Amino acid sequence: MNQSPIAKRLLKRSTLYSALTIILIITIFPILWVAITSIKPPAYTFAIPPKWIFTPTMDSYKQLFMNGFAALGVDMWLNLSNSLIIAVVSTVLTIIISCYAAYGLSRFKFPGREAMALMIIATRMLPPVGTMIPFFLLINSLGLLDTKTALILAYTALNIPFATWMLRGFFDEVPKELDEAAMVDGCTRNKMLWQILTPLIAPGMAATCVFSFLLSWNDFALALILTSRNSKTLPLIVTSFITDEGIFWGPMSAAATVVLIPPIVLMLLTQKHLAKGLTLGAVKG
Amino acid sequence: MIQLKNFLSGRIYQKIYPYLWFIPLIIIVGFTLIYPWLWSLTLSFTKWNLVDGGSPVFIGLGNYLSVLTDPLFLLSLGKTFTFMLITVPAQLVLGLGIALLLNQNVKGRGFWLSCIMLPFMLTPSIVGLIWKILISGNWGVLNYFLSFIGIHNVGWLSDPKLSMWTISMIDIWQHTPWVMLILFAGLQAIPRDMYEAAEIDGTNPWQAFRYVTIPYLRPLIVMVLLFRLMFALRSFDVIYTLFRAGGPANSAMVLGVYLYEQFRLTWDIGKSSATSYIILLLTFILSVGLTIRMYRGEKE
Repeated sequence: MNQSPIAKRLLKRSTLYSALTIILIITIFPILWVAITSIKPPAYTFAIPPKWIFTPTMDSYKQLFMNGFAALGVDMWLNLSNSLIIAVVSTVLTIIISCYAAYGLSRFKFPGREAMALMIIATRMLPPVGTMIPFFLLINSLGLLDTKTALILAYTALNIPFATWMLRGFFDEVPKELDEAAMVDGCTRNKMLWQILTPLIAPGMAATCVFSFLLSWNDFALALILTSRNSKTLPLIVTSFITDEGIFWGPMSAAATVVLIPPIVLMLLTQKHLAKGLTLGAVKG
Repeated sequence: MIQLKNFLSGRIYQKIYPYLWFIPLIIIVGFTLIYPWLWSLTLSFTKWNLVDGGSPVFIGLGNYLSVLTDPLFLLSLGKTFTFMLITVPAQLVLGLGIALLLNQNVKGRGFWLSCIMLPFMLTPSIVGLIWKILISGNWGVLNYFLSFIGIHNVGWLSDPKLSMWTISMIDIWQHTPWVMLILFAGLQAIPRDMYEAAEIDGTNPWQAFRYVTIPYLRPLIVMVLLFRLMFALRSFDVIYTLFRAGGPANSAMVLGVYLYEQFRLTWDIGKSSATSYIILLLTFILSVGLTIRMYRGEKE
């Protein structure tokens, strides 16, 4: 033994932290780079070697929000409000509908219950890319192409199966005796669901809301096929900055940074509940 | 009489009561998901083009035959499988590796965990864009870094030989954190005394990993593997944002891009419906095991 145990331990620790640091840099750098690009003066955007020290400027953001890029079909305020309205409304609808179904699955035994559970998991597996054509058929026949309603309908339908599945798990953790006690006190099931049960599973509901919101916020494929101008959402317009005449890097990275803020903030807030939701395959659209 | 009727309807009400909770779900999912899927199924057996107008004409399996013999479809099928074969094993190995690192006695684990897991929840089309900024042209910063180690002017987006590796690299960056997070949760759930018992038996760390960790994680690894395969099959957003089509010489033409391009260029509802159903069938093959697993897991 020519190495003392302490030296050995030190070596092990430093290897561990260096490995983690390298992984961290690989993970974070691309995200930081787009944020950095968005506050670079235009002259430095393509500088090679990259300029690491510069005076940050909000020019790209000003250009994006004030001047607009109507010629490219970008209207940042409209697109931002579309994204927010669609994501919020579809999340609220998803949670209400899923709470009822999850409660039903969790509390009642009835013929067809197993079939219902299977159907819910199976619809969860539907590939969104594959749903482009069926959704297009439906929305086209309803005359709802390029409306917010179209995307709200689509996201709600895609979100319900996984939200039901997730909420059902949370309801199962609340003892049934609680329901019975509340009903003895003259509470209807509906009232009990919203006034007693949902507060009890609030953290789980919050995580479910985050997943629903992000599925809508992050979707690209369905928005691509169901919208054309008035109800375009943020993930779509970001690619509009890539034109035949060139790419508007500054405003594009500014828009990209704006789109990334909700996922990053929401994910850090609900970190603890992520693993549970993830194992249900909730994350990807 | 009235009492009897009340009694009867009361009993019927009791019977149908549980179903009432599912009415909103059935309306929305039935109307918005199941009905258009079935409609699309019937249309997949017809010739119907939105541009030509007219009404659908039954042609049996014609659309399926024409898709399955389309060289571009076969190409995209091959590309998709290559993509799955490159990314999924890499994500499993790297994800398990990082999970094992974090499962050591790490200070500030919450911080490491939240930073490292960031990529997988980011908006996929923005992920495509971020990487476009990193790897475009000669001034992309990734090529700048590579030039330090003597690698110059890598055509990440322009070289047909490279585009499969480009999209794989991005997918590995994007989805390894997801694998890591799930396997990390699994590692945390392994009882400590299993390792203590193994240590008493005089096992070395490798044996402990092989005979304690792996058997415990196996169900989770299978689940992660199936989920990743299923999601790799439906890849679209990142690849489309990067290339806006199938890439140079269709070298990144995966099934999702094939379907979208086919529909956008031809507006052929019948053929596109058939393609959707072929993708659905492939998904079904991958997901049937997963569905049964989740269903059983919930029953226990």
